[in-house]
Amino acid sequence: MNELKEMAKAFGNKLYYSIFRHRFDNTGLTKSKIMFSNVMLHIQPVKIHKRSVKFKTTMGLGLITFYLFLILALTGILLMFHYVPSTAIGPDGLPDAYSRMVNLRSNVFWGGFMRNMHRWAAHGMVAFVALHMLRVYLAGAHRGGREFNWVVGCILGLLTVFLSYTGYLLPWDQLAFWGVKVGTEIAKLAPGGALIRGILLGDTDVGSEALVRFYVLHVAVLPAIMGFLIAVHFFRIRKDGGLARPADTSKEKQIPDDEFGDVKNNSVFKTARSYKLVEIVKGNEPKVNEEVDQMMFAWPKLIIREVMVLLGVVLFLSVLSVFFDAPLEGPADPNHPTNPAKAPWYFLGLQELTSYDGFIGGIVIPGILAGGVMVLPYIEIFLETFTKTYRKNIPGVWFARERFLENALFIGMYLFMLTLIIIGVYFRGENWAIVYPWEHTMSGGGH
Amino acid sequence: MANEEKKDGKSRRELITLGSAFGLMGLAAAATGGALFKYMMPVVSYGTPQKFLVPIKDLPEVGDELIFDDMKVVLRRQTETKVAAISLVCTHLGCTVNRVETGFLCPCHGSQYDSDGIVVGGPAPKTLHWLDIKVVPGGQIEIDTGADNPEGTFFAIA
Repeated sequence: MNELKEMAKAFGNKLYYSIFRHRFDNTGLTKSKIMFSNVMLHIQPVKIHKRSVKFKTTMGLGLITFYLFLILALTGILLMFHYVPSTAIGPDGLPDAYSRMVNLRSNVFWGGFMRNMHRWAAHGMVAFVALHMLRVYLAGAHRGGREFNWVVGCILGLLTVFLSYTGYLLPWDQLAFWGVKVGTEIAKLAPGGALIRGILLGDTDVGSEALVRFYVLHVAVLPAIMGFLIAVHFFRIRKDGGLARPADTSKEKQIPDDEFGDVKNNSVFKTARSYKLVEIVKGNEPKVNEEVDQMMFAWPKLIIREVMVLLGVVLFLSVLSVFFDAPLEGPADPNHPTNPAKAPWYFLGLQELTSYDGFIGGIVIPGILAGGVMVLPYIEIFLETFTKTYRKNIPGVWFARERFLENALFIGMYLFMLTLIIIGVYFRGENWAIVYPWEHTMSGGGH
Repeated sequence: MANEEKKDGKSRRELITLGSAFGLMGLAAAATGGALFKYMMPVVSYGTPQKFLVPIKDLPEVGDELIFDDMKVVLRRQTETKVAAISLVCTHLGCTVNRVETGFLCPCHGSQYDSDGIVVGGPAPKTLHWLDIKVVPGGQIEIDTGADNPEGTFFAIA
């Protein structure tokens, strides 16, 4: 009997180690092993700087954006089981795509909830991309070798907006139809825009072909590009040495050691970072013996914080989706837009701009803003190089005094867009005339 | 000297090899790109036809108007024999304008037109299109929504 027990134990051990390859004790070696023997965890470093887990460093904005992307991918795939990208009129007199929305709302178990989750997460993602970008800029984290990652991030931001745009065509309601109608008319104003419009719509006007094309872009092409660029974005953060931080953090207030509990360091080098040598790279990284006392194991303190943020996001979205239904306007009517015909809030700033002039407001200003923001770090470098102002860059510090002008301009740009959005949402009524929200009940907008 | 010549020869050979390799790959990529572009370009249109017919007996009374929703056209009869058709597609970004007392208003970006489709406010760059009208056999007129005439272009129907 004892022998049998022993054998079962040996087998259990072999089974366990074939899967996990480590125990969960409190030694540094185990903590390292946990991090690099798990495919999900190994994306992150074994040891991170203590300031990385402080709320004020990132406010978790990028992480939340990434989680929203994951939630969108999951709910999106689930929604695909109940959707057809077809404008054919069904027996109920509604276009197929639209009646699928009605079906989700009224018949499918969890259908409405799933659609709400997807829609609110999409809105949230646009907002958090904007906030994340603001945080990165104001903390100067786009400089010091990270300029190209800023560009990648900007492309990810544009992809987010384009995913939202292709996504809201799919219900084939009034918002969908007129949003795409106007958007592609704007494209026509750009040089070479008629060709782009033709390729996007697959027809001379918004119709069944456009729905199929936007569907493929939304569920396959754009998410694939996005997934790849997210990988690039994260990879470059790792290769640039983790989150941007000042060269010397010894004077910063950190989370005290005792809050991280007692870590047994069983490595030979008691004070050095001592995980496996994975690769040899040029330069002096990994920087052994530099700021060792400021480094901490990512497991479990970072991972627990990340899981907590994930749970928070899911909880918040779930509550939101239970109590607030995603908007659905009447079925698309190619002859009559709603009055007023308002885009979702993140496009209302642009709509406000185009209501002054189609070309300047729809192409020139957005083009300059998007292009300018994308190459912003290079503009900074250019000006610094050619005016020979070599200032000390302190990445990872909020509102650095040396960057006062840049920060003020960047915040100004945000306030400009925000003002336009507020005007578009609250101060535009029937026939796009100026109204006051306290005098009229609002219809449309805010989708 | 001999060494340098050898080096030159080597680099020339490299240039030719690499040049032709990358050149061919570039050519293939360009051809694929062009083909893909063509593949994605629409070949058939499923949209509404550009021209439509109206029987003369269905025309509005003199001094009156008739709106054709599906074609986004308002048909206006000036006299017994003169009619005009004005497009209801906003010249700004293609929304359908609403007919109101003072003319036409666009619900998307607030363009305002007078009754002749002349811009009086908002972002619209041009007058609403005045369309071609042609009398066709069988007592009908044919309206071409693709045309753009100056405002006040009426057509004789008799």
